[in-house]
Amino acid sequence: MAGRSKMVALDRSERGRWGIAQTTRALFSAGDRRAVALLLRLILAAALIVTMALSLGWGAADEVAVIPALLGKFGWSEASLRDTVIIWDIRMPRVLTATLVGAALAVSGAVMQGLFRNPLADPGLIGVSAGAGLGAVVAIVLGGVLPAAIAGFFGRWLVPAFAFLGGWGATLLLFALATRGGRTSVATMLLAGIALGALTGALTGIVVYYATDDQLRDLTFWSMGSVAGASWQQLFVAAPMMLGALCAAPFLARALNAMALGEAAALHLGIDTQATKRIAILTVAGATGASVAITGGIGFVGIVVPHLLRLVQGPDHRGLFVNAALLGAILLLWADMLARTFIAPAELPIGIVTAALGGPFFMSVLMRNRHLL
Amino acid sequence: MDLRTKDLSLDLGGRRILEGVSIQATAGEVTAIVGPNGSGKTSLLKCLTGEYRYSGTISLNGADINSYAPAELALWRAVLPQAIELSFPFTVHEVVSLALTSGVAMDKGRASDDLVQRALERVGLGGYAPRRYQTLSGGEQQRVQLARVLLQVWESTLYDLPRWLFLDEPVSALDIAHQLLVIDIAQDFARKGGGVIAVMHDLNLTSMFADQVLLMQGGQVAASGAAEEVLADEPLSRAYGCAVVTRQAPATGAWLLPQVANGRAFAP
Amino acid sequence: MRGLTLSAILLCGAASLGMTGSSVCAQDAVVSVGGPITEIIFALEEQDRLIARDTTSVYPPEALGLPDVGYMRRLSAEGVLSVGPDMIIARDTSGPPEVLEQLQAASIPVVLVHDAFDPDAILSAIDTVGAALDVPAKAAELSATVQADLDALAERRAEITEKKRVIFVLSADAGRLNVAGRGTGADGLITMAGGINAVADGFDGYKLMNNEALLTANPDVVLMLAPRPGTDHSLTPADLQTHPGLLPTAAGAASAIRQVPAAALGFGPRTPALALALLEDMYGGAQ
Repeated sequence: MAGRSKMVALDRSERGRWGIAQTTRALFSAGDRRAVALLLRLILAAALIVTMALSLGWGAADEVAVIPALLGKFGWSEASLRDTVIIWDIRMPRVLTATLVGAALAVSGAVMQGLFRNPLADPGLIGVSAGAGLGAVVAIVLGGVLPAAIAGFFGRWLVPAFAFLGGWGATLLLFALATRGGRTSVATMLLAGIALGALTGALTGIVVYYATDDQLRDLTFWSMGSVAGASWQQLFVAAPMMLGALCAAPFLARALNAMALGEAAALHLGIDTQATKRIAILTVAGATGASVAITGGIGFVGIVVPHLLRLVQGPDHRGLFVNAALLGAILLLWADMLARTFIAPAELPIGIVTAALGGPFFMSVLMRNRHLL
Repeated sequence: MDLRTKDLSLDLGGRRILEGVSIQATAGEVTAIVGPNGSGKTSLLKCLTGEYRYSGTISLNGADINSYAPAELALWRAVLPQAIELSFPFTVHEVVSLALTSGVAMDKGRASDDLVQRALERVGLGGYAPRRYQTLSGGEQQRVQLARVLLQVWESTLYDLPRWLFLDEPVSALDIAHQLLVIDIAQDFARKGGGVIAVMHDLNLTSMFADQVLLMQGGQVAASGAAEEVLADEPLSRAYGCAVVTRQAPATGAWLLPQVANGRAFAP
Repeated sequence: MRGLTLSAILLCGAASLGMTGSSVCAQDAVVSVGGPITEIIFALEEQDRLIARDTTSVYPPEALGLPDVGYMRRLSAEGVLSVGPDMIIARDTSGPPEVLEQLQAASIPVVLVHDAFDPDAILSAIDTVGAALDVPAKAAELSATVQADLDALAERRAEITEKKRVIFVLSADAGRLNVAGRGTGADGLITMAGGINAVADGFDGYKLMNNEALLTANPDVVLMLAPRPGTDHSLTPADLQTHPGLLPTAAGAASAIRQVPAAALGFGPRTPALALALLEDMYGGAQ
């Protein structure tokens, strides 16, 4: 009906303008002043912690003049070569990596919790961690027996590349298993993910059996996570995917809000649930896959951050993603600073810090806020 | 403009749930679907809302319902389900605001908060906006959902075409005062030009507000027509398989269907 | 190996150009990464120039007093920099490679020493470290001592008519023994000491073996780690003597359980001497 399509066209542009007006008004109305305050506080905390992380050093690396070194790279100030290298080649990539990875993991967790409608969901549910772990194990243990051409092509990128491919492979496999006739069942994905976890665990065990001592140690350290080896190269490769995922997430906010009522109700509200599921899963696979590839296994950030935020700002996904990115970055930077100082000059793997601190802290928060859950 | 189905059939799990159902609901009227358990009433509604894959055709306002994109369809019809489980601690205000998700064409002058408040007042929950949905009683939660659904199709007509309310047992968890409130809302919506289709359990209430009644039995439409015709002794007894006696209350003129127990009808 | 020495000298030279007021290669703040490297530095009596070590450097006991920059294969650039080094001498299996590069970018020369479990590796390691520390005379002396040990070993090995079958047990895990296969320090030590690794055909690295496999291997001698001073080793010779997998073997029958200091496995400068002692012990004077 021609009349009807005219109406649709009108509605879309009207809808768009109205939506923007509504959002802008919402930001400044009474109830949402708190939301803006929270956001500003998080931004401030993030800026502060980035500064601290850049300046943190001890012993001989303590008296690094940060500002001159920062400016010195562009020739705007005089700084010693050593200071410049420390700030630009060692600390900066590390701080940026921790920021991005923290944000990526936290946002992934938030997306997963919205998608599975469960505040206990974490990025591992779509198989990305299990697959990445298996990929890393294969690369570490079987890397030596790969044909020279392949090993040479990847070089030191062998483990990250395999981890990344493993993560994506697992997710796509689960997605294919759970999608029939164009509809994806998240419940099936959840159950299939459990089965896949068992399978990858078994395969990992088999491969580990053939590992040498060195390889076992490498594997253990990989699974405990670290940002110590961060480099600009790694960032250039991994950052685009993580940033892409981070930017895509807010667009899922309204859909995930509606899906809290259940998929049927969300569909009735006009949400394209299948597209939402697809984008959500791709986003999480991209963000988490890239993170795990460059830092190894860092757990806990994905569950804790969105949970904490929900207790403070409520479950509306529109604010949740931005805040989660900031809080995730803050958390990981803080954990990294602890990892660097605790047994200096040696370093703790960062996954241990996030788990050891995150666990008890999370428990105490839950105990105090039981009535809200 | 109306809502029609033609030869609607549904198979689920190897069983034929609906068989050759052809119905028509007219805008400006309240159409009730009644029938015994397992007769296919909720399945019929689920076909209308797009949750089941059926064979046959359904047309809404003259166009096949599958030709509408999800966002567009959300402009034209809102669905009130029987039960909603919310997994996050949203407030009542947030739940009702979800109706604005698809950015439906609204009364542009007003801010969304104002509209949400008006919807809540309409269902008698004026002061409930800041409360958490999960802390409400079943009946209150159902009314919050009704407020959300109403907000989605706030104006009964859009560009001179009727909008539709699909209600799945909208009064089941409510006390009588609120049951009457919901009935009033549905009739009001229809009077202003919208269409209402409600799956109903309670025959007495149905008789109070339905203009057209569809009686389902065994996956087929056993009877359809005005309430007085369908909600009569013979069609009801046949469909429900037990003796049902109907009487019109002398004072108000409303139909009263006595409770049937132990195969014996109790006359009031 | 000579190439590494050359590059070490060149790096020293390049680094010294960037530093003001220091003489050529007068490195006084050396970080040593790798047990054998640390041993060599102590053996060369240059330990005063050491400023830090890694986790695997536990011999000699004085080394434990130095700050620990972390596990050899998982160094952290910040950690290493924080001790203020002006040179790093590391086994070439250290890592991660990004960290070594970052350290070099910070004008700290990194000298890599080839890592292998054979006698030639020990000698070339001594050369490389000696060149890096600019003490060629002392290095030559140490090399000569080690060479003498190696020659003695070769001589004694040639006299052996029947080689003994040996296994090395690292630890026990719920009754199963962790045994050294190919490509381990223990395997190299056994070969050096004139024995045959009874399980060398089976696997690489360390593996848990079940009792049937141990009986099939039927070793004549069982080696285990000597307890480190100050640590409490859970495994004792008595445990192995009475172990069901070893009791019926030739080693069990002869009570041939020998302890070996951990340093011998690292293939540092003391290994040949320790191997010689082991050889004498196994074959006695009965040749």
